[in-house]
Amino acid sequence: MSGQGVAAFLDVAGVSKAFGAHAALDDCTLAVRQGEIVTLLGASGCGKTTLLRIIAGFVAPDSGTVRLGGQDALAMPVNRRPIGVVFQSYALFPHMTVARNVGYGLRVRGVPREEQRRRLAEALELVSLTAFADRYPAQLSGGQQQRVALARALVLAPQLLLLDEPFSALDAKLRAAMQSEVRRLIKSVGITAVFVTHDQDEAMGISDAIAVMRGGRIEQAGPPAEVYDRPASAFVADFVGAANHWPDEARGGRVTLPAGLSVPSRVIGRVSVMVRPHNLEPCPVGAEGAAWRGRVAFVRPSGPFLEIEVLVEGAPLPFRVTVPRAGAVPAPGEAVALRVRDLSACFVFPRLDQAAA
Amino acid sequence: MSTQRAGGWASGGALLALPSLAFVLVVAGLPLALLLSFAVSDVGMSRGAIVSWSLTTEHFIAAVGDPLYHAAFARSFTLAASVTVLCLLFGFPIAYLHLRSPGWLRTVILVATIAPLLTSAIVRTYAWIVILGRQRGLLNQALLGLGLIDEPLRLINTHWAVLIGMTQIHLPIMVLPLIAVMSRQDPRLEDAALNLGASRLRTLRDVTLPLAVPGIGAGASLVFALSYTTFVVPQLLGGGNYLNAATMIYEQMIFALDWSKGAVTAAIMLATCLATVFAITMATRRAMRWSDQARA
Repeated sequence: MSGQGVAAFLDVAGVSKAFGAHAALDDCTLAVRQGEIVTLLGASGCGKTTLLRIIAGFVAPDSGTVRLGGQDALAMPVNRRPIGVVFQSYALFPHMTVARNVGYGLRVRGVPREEQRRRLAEALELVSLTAFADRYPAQLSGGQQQRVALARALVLAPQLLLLDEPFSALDAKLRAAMQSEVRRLIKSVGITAVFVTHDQDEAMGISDAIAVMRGGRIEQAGPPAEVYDRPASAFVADFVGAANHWPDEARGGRVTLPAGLSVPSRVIGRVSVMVRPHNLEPCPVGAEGAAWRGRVAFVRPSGPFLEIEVLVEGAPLPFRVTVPRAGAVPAPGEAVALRVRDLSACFVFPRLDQAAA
Repeated sequence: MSTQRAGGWASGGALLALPSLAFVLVVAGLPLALLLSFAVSDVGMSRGAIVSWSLTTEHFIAAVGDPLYHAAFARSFTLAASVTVLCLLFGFPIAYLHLRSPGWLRTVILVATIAPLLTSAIVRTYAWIVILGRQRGLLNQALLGLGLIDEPLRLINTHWAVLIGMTQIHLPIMVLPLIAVMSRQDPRLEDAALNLGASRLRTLRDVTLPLAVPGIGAGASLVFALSYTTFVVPQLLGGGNYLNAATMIYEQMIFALDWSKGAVTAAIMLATCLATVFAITMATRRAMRWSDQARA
């Protein structure tokens, strides 16, 4: 995302789109700098794919503008936009070999034979699929198919690359490997890219910036760390990572937690204090500065960490606490206290039930 | 636990298929065997009863050299081939329109396609007589009324009437497999072709059409087999003198009472029909080689 004053390469302004009575997109504004990887993150039905399809030209918006490199993209016909798309489940032509799939755009555009051959070879080289040129898509693994889809888009040297849930068809292990592979590839060609995903881990891992979408609107846009550490709303806080909710009252610009801890609040009244699992630390009951007391419900190993679920007195839902695997571990059933590691990393939002009213 | 489950098809599947197998043998296999036995025999009949029976190939040899047979089969084949091509030419746009339409229009197209199948082919054929008739036919009346022609055109009882009627009657048989195959296509494939720079027309040629090949093959086989063997439409729209393989069998069996000749004609018709359908199937396979390779 660009700050004010920096010229955006892709500039989406005030885009709205309704399908019948359903508003799929409501006044979306998004600015992407050249060479940046931006992810549209949101649950299904939030409008992220519609926005992608509008940028690609498959769907015309009801209002708003899309500019690419300073030019009006909406004025360009769909088959003349300098935009490459990697589709969900890749949409490879099943009746064409890898080479014919990747070379299709070159053939359609009437690129001279000799140049076709050279660019095709380069593109296959880029995704290390030279040896698979004569295979059909169904003879390839999911990861290979995805690389074909990437090569097919990149061979035309587009100004912008759009990727619609590109990893959703891969199994978990391959997905992680492909994410870094694809990011490396995109960065090596230096192309500007917009991803669409519902997976926040994927968004965090691949992007320079994230735009969290909800109900056809962009709720917050910014670098991954900023969106995670300073969410603009309770929805964003919940969507981009786990958060524990503590219902409380805010008075005079503060919320006073048990044990006299105080968190600044921009809102007053019924609020929810949200604390990330890694920002909590279990400690012996009665320890100084412990905000909450509770009982360990269960302990679950999660990679190098342990996830502890604590039934906190006064909280409607159990708290999740993430601790490193080393050191003393509380056992299920044990009484523990919870201490906040960094009070400034707690967020205060109006309670959702109140916001809905 | 149970080892019987692994007993395979012999104990379970085949046993369940036995009733239908027996049914097919009795109602299809037996008459076919009888027909073929008539074709290779000299049957002597007297007062409706078979009095002598001897094996011979003379009917086959006579048929193969008979110019009347050549003419009848040539006409049946050209008719069936042109009906197939016409059904494809009219049917593909309908299926394509169905693919591109919003939900409600899809339903309308599908219902409009299926509705004619709910009326009998004979009723539909009579409808064409009403439209194409010489004196009171709707088409001639309209053309005369508009002053485009001075005297009624001869439409009914011509090859053209048979062609038009058969195309309309067999159109749903082409459209339905096309719709079934084409609506299974991933719509993103067309988006992908557009995105790579192809025009709508080029996308149709490079992506939609090649992927519709299984539907084209199935539709063409069905329409060809039905048009090649159909009897009612040529009889009603082509007039009494309209001779093709099917009407020839009818004449030989019913009027000439020469069952051996009729059986020979029927056997040739069956063989040539199967051969053509086989050829269509092989051509479809050829165009679908990519899916074979994918499975290998």
